Amino acid sequence: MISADIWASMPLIIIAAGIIFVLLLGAFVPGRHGTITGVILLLASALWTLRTPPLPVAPLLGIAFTPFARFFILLFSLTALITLLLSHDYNKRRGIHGEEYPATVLFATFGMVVLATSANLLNLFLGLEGLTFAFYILTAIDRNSPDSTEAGLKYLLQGAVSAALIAFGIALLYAGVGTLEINAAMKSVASGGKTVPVAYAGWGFLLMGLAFKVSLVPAHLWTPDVYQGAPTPVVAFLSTGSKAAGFAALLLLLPAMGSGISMLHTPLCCLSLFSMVLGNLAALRQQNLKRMLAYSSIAQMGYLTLALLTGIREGFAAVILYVVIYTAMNLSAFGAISSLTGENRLEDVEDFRGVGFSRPLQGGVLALSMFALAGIPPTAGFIGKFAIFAAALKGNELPLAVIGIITALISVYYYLRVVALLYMQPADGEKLSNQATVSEMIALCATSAVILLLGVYPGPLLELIDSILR
Amino acid sequence: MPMHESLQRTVAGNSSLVQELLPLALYSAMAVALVGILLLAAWWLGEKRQSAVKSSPYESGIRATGTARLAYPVPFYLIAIFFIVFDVEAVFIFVWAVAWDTLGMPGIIQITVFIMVLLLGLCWIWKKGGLDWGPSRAREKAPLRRPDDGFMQMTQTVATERGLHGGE
Amino acid sequence: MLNNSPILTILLFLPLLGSAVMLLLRNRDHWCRMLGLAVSGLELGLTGWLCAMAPIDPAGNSFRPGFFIYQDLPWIEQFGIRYTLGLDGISMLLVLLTAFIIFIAVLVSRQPVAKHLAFYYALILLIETGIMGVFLSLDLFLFYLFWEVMLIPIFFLISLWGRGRPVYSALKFFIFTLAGSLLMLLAIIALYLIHGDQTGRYTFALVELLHTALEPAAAAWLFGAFLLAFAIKIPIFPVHIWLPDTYADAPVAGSLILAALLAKTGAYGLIRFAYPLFPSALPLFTPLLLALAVAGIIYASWIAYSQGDLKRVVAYSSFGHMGFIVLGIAAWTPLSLSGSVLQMVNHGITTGCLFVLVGMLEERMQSTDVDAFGGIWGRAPYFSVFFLLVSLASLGLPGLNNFVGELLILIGVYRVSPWMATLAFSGVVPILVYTLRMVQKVLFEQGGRAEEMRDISLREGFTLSLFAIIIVFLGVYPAPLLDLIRVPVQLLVGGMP
Repeated sequence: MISADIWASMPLIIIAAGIIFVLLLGAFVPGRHGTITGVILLLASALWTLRTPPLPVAPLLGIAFTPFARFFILLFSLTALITLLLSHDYNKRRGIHGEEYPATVLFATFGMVVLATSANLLNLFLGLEGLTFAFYILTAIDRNSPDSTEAGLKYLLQGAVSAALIAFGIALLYAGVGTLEINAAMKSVASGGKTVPVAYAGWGFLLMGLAFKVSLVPAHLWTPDVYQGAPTPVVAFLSTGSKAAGFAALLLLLPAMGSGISMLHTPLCCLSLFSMVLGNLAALRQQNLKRMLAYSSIAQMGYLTLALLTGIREGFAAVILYVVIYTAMNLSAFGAISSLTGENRLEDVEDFRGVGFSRPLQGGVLALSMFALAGIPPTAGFIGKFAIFAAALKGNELPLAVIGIITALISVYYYLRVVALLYMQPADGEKLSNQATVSEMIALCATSAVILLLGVYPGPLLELIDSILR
Repeated sequence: MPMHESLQRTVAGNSSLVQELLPLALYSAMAVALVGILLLAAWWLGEKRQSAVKSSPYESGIRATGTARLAYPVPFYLIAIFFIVFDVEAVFIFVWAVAWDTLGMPGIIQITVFIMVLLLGLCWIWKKGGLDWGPSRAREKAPLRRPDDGFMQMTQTVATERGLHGGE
Repeated sequence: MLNNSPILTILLFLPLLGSAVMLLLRNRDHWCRMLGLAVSGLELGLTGWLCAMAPIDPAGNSFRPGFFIYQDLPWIEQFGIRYTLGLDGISMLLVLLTAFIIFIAVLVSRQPVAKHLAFYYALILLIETGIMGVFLSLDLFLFYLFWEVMLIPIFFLISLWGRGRPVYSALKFFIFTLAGSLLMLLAIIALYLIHGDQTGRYTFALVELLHTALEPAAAAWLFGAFLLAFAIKIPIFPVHIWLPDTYADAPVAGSLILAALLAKTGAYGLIRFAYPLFPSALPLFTPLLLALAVAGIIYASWIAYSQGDLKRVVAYSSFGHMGFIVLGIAAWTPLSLSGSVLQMVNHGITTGCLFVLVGMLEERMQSTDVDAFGGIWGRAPYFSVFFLLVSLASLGLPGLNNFVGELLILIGVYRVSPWMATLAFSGVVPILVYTLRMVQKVLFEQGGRAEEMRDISLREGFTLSLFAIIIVFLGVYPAPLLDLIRVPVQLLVGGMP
């Protein structure tokens, strides 16, 4: 029994032990070993996950090493790995020292992994809050920048509210259905066509809290400021890892409800609609590239919700597919920005004029990720959008799908504006002239390869996703 | 009887949603009403005359000098936080202690891991100079960039914008 | 013997490979130019060879009637997406046209391109892959993929090497075409789901989707979405507003490709996909399309007459002549459809050549203002002869290529709707007027800056002679082309591709 527990939670143990190890190593052996140690640990956890077959639920710890969990552990580990590769030299340029940084990145990953493996609402909450907590610190970690501190404070205040909402929601769910075990709880929220009112209310709070985590309108207000203020690699991680975790949580909860998901249809529709429309419209007017990407990610979350609310198997598959693709797209977009900036704070769209020619690698990756985010083939963004709209049509969401298509068209304008600027002659010499370092190059090449590969040959991934959905 | 069972029984009976949520609604209404009445009463009964002397910090007439924002040494906060952290951890250990025999071997392993992590955390703080009062060796070795320190800068700007720096 | 051979795949991805190698050759301008010529030339040779190999009567084909070559592989099986390429008479002609125009585009891009040559040629080759893909795909998903892929290089081509307000024009073009395309994507998905629900087989294969039974209302909506996408690309009358800016601001190779090839992808889409897929929507849409086509012909001629910019005159003339092609497709009779397909080639050649000529003028005079020219006839006789020949071909002089196509279309349409045919025929008159006015202003009228005009170089002479030979040849002997498309057209109008 106990050995099975340990076996199932090994990736967690590796990462948890890794956090302590990285901290102590940093304290006793000064230097920048955190990144490489972290990368090795994350690789170890990813490899362990890959080599270990899925196990049944381990009731003692509330940890389920399901195929779903395995998939997401892998995704989170790799995302964190890319983040560490991106941060190493960026932090050097920005003067962010200390082993706290890699340790906190690992801690955020730990929270995500706990979340993905949870079979229990409490574990889910722990994971979600653990990772958000780590992000409060990461957002504010650049102590030399007022923007970073401001972003951290804003994130903390609004995050605390969402944590309270989620905790209260879980409490109400428990009051309504009498169990914290996810599958059982979700089944009895809406069994036999009748809903339990208190549990319904609980779902309302839970949904609002999760909407905050994945920044869906109207719970999106923190997003632009945090994206603009926080160090760019942190934003890369925040916009991918924590969003993916939010959707992993939703995917743990919603499919277990069976047909009961229809009771959440209206709120999910509103969230999706407002996010798609508002996110895309607001992004049109942004001058700061990171801020623009913040609104763009709000809109992308709207598309994900569109697939989610269909409540059909294809919808959930589309969500997982798009989460993976979105992770690759945003990692490479923010990765390119982070490898171009550092000492300077030039993050306006205009500052990127001519970068496509002066820095072909970073400029090319940025252009590629813009095309991918706009959903233009042959990038993976197109396959993702295709899957989402196919699922939406299959789930009879024609009006929302049409609105989604129209907003996607609007989004093309602001994405392509960036691409056009990247390949224009700079008016007054190149401002952004950082060469990509080796680790940044590895990270950027990896994410762009994923974008292109999934764009032309998504078959194996689709098969995998199909096998992990219950 | 656990709450959820009573709730489920209410639902199972043919009582309506309104009936079930009535206590909650009543409670909320009372809470809002109470707060509202208090605020209204304060507004109605209170004195509304304003003058420069009246809004000064000390109505007794002593003139306030300097800003009210004083810098405390950071170690105060650190010590306070360490206290809270270790105090809360003690609560967890206590919970284990009262049920140690039913929890058995897994319980011992778990609490050992817990205490070990705590201990390592303490080591880290110690090594980083978190427990030193005054300038520490660790901080001398790696000096932080000084007060363009983010938070101070931000509060400073906010304070200046709001005109909070008094009449120096 | 060519069935299921990878020859179409080679044809498709050779330019892509070329552009990848090109990007590795950064900053070696001479090599880039040579490589561009070599790849596009090889592609042209390959298509020529295929054309020669293809039997005129493909009755012996066991895979698909009408197709010379057919390649079918599974691709994304979870969605029922296949990698299906097919070459029949219609696509054969268009593939040949594509290879030729791209070769010319590489050939004429000499002077105006000063910077980032490798990127420039790589983009042109990428466009070739995209357009070839559109003409060869027989899977709706694959088709859509190429349909959008070709937008990216054109966007760059216009925004980086254009004149005037290039970024504005490029974005306008991109967003306009994407607006239609995205709605078409929804329609494709809807069709896929409807077919899947009916038969239990979820697939994007055109062959299977042709047998979908649709409610008339559903068919009308889906056809509308397809039509919008294709109409914007062609463009058909009310959705042409992106055209003048984009054509005028694009570099020579850009306008050449836009007018000669991109417009054809839209018309091809109507022929290959929209019409065969939704026959039940045709009674509703045929009168509308006929009316819009005629309106386009007359409107374009009217506007072209009042343009002061030579590039815009040619742009509107291209738009007007596309109206004839749409007219022929809308009538959907074997005769008119053959005329349209033939006219697609002719239009590509004449309009393409006109844009090349205008590009030469622009390069020499640094202007495309009609009033800046005049009196060129005396200064540059060779140039003037070519200009006159192509203009005459464009207005449909008997004995030159456009005449045959437009005649076939008008006869075909007359059988369906005599009124529309008459109206369209009357549209020839304004075309005559503005084309002759253009010739007169550019070549003969005095008062321009003709003294700055140089005559054509050997390279330019070679390019223009190629065009001239084709124009005359197709004008007097279009039979081989008509033979090539006879069977596919019969199959299409008979309801089967």
